[in-house]
Amino acid sequence: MSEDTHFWRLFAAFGQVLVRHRRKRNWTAYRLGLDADLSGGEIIGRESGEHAPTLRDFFRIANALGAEPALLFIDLLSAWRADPTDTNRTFRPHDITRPSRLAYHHKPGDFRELLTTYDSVAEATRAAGKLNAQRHARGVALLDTVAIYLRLDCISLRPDDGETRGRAVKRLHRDAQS
Amino acid sequence: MSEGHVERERIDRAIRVVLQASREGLDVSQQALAEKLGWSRNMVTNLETGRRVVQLTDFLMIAKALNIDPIALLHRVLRW
Repeated sequence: MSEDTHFWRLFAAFGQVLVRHRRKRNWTAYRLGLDADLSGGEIIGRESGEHAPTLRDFFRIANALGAEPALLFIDLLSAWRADPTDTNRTFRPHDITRPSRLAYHHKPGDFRELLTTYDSVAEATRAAGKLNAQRHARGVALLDTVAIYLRLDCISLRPDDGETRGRAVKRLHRDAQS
Repeated sequence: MSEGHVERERIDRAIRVVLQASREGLDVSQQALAEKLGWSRNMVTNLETGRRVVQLTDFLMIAKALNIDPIALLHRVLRW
């Protein structure tokens, strides 16, 4: 995929994310435009992928939706990278659907995370409430943080063309040692 | 001046300042960045001075050219 095509797909991805967030709130394009200081036509233009969104538009729209800009940006990058023809970049639902982990400050400079992952900050927060009741009874440090993760990229470990399985294993072992 | 206008000005300034600071922090000249992007130096100057509005594609291309994670770059704008 050419670089130009790659970036042009961003317009469509932005439109998809915008439509999804607006419809989730049952808003018209006019209503969103009003809050974002854009016209309904400008919103529709951005949703259709016809108009290139500015970064300023992005912040205005995030603010109007009441969405955390960083999380909306993550949504946008995920939609942009979900190209069905590019298997290395295919976005997997579980990369986003279980992004949160609970964590705590064991002592100054010693920040620890639990292994269990949660679908959302809300789910993680509810779990923290229950776990903290147990931790308080045991006299251990309370969970005080929700850490949010996202897969930013991936690198294929598949063998290069023509490489035998044995050589691939040796290459991977060598790469792991370096 | 309306509150919305003040906020828009603040966001615009944050974007410009962060992009320039990120470039300078990596010791990359406007010319060098322009060459990496395939742009004219004027285009980089116009983005940093506000004469050109930063498109979302510009932002992502600059992040890639400077080898900065785009989410981290967005966080810098938000924290400015």
